[in-house]
Amino acid sequence: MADGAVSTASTAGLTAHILVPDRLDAHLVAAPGEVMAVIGPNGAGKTTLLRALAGLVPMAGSLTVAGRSWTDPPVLVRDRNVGLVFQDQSLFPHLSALDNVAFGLRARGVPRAGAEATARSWLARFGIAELAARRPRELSGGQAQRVAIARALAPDPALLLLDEPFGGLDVGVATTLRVELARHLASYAGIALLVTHDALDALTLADRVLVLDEGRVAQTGSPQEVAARPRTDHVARLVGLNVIREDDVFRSFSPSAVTVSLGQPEGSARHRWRGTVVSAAPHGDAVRILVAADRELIADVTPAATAELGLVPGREVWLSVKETAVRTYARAPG
Amino acid sequence: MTTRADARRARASTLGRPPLVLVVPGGIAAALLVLPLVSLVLDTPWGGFLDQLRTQAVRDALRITALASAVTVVACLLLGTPLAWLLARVDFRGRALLRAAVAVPLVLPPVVAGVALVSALGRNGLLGSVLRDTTGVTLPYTTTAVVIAHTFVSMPFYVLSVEGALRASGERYDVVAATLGADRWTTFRRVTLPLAMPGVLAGSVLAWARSLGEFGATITFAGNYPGTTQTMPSLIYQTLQADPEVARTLSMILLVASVAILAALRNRWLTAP
Amino acid sequence: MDGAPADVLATADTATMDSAKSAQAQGAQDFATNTMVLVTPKDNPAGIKTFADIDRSGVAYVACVDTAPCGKVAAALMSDNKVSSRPASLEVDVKSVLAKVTSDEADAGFVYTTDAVAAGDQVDTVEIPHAADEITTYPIAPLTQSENPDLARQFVDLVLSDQGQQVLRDAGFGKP
Repeated sequence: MADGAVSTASTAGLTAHILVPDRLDAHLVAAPGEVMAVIGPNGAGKTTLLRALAGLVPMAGSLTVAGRSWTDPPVLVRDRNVGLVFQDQSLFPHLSALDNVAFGLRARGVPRAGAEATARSWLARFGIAELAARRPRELSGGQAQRVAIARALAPDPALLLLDEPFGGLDVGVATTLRVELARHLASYAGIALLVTHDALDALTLADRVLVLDEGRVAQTGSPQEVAARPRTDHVARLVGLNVIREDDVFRSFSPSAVTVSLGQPEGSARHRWRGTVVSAAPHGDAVRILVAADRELIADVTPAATAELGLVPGREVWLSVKETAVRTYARAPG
Repeated sequence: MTTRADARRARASTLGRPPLVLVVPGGIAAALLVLPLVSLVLDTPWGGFLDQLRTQAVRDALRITALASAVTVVACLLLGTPLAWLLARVDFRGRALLRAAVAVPLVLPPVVAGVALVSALGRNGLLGSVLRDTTGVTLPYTTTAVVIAHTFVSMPFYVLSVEGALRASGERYDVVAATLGADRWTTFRRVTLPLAMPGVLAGSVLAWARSLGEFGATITFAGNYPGTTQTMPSLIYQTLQADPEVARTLSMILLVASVAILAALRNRWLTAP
Repeated sequence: MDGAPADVLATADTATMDSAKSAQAQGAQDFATNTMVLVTPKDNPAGIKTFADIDRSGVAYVACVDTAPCGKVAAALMSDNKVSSRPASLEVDVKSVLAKVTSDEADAGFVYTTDAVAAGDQVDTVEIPHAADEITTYPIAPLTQSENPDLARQFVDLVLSDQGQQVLRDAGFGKP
């Protein structure tokens, strides 16, 4: 992020220091129009972060959105102008899709006719105009999530918070919805935060990735940057890399660069480990095996090699990787 | 098209016959509930049914009962709903104590409820004496007192039913509404209350039914005079002392009226899923 | 008649005894009488000095329902004395009437002399004109269904004896 963009963010965007005792201590800066993916293992504080931004979790610290402080004095949830998309949609079960989408507008004083017209146009944008009269229980998971996103966007929030919006959806539905969401986020002028478990979400939707680990920001950067130089095991696993921490550097290498053998490897391989196969599962054309050495490592091998070496759980193996296949980068973020 | 009998057979063939250990006690419970009603129907001298219905005393008592139970339900809706909401949604000091106090009239013998009302609202009551000294109004022996007594004994059924529904529907949608900019009143009107509607309806029916049968608290607090405070149960009780035959007929009139109204409501609201 | 097995029947009016006579009770004898009085709460908030005061507007008085014996007498006395106002409430029994008065929820109530005596200084008593015209007579009879006919007979004799009658006098009952 260039310095210019950060200073823009501090006035028109979002600047926050979210402090939730024992759970979260995170600094956060985002520019208008920016989409930030929040990733991290379970319990890292991702959902707490979203809920604190929405005002649903009491927090200390500071939060300024579009030049207005939401913490000094504290601003109620209803006055924050956020759009929250829940993993389970949380559509009002007694209201039609149209009334769900119109709810935020009506609650903010837009007359019924105007609110319904806007809601209708939002449903049309998501290609579900014909479902306007349906109740949530008459919608499929994908349709319901479209309504939920439309409902969050309709009042034009300054901050859009999406909590694993594709969780619990079929892979095919999630893929379609991901493409649609990318289109809507591109034309959305506010700041979007997207909590996700899926590296694909972060890579395809986000301008920037924020990695949380144990309640702290472990890494921020562009998706490409974070994917190429992960600083946490979780992200490494998400993007399918092995990461080793050594003194003041990280070393990462691809599972396909790993050689698996039964005997101790000869030659120039600088990195080698002895361990036990924990699991073996198909991964694309290869078989990905997880090996417990002094750390957990993953290696991709051909199905033929898997059979030949008898790589079943419990098997003792040697792993090695050539120095030329290892990428080394500094530990300190920057 | 499958008939209900088909569905029943299909269920029996997949899950087996209902076990006797459930059928027998269930049957005993049903008999205990149904038998006295059947006996009452058989024992009723139906010849006098219409004649009794035409007497002034019965018409007055029916009118007072209908009025009191209707006003009771309205009072529950207007006052009990907010109380249920406070108990379910607002965390205030003494909430647990208040919830327990609200439930007490459920277990109070009705006559004791009447005595309690007298000590609160009687002309020498805690509040009643203040009312009398400031406005000259006394509540006992008025139809208002009947309504108050009915509301006192019926409201707990309503409040507990609605509070249960509010808790079951949960605060989750209230939170969603808040993120969409709704204040608490808007949230209550457009989200909380509609989601608790089954509890509101069930509570209304319970309160109404309790009000229909109310006797002890009413006669103790409000008194018993035809046309002003005499309800059907009061009339039945006093008639029972003089003429049990007529009392049976009067009971049937109350029973028929309640069942008719329940049946009408059931078609609209109470159809089981 | 439906009812519990008993050895002796004593009733609060002769009509009830009459309806029982055909069934079970033979040889009924009157053992006591009672008359009605008006009672007011001790401090008499409505200032009722004479029976006619109950006809003043704003006076809330109570009596028994006219299906009960105490209500029949009260209704007759109101009619005899040409009372034009209506009771505030018709109670199901005389104890309820007395309770309304002792708790000061009613200005006055029609009760039996015996109830006024039993209530002691919780109530003040006002005579009702023509009360003597509406005397309630209590009959007693041993029941033919009794499993202890001798004991039943002895109890009736005790009630009718001088000793029994004195107990009844002390409680406010009149001579039969």
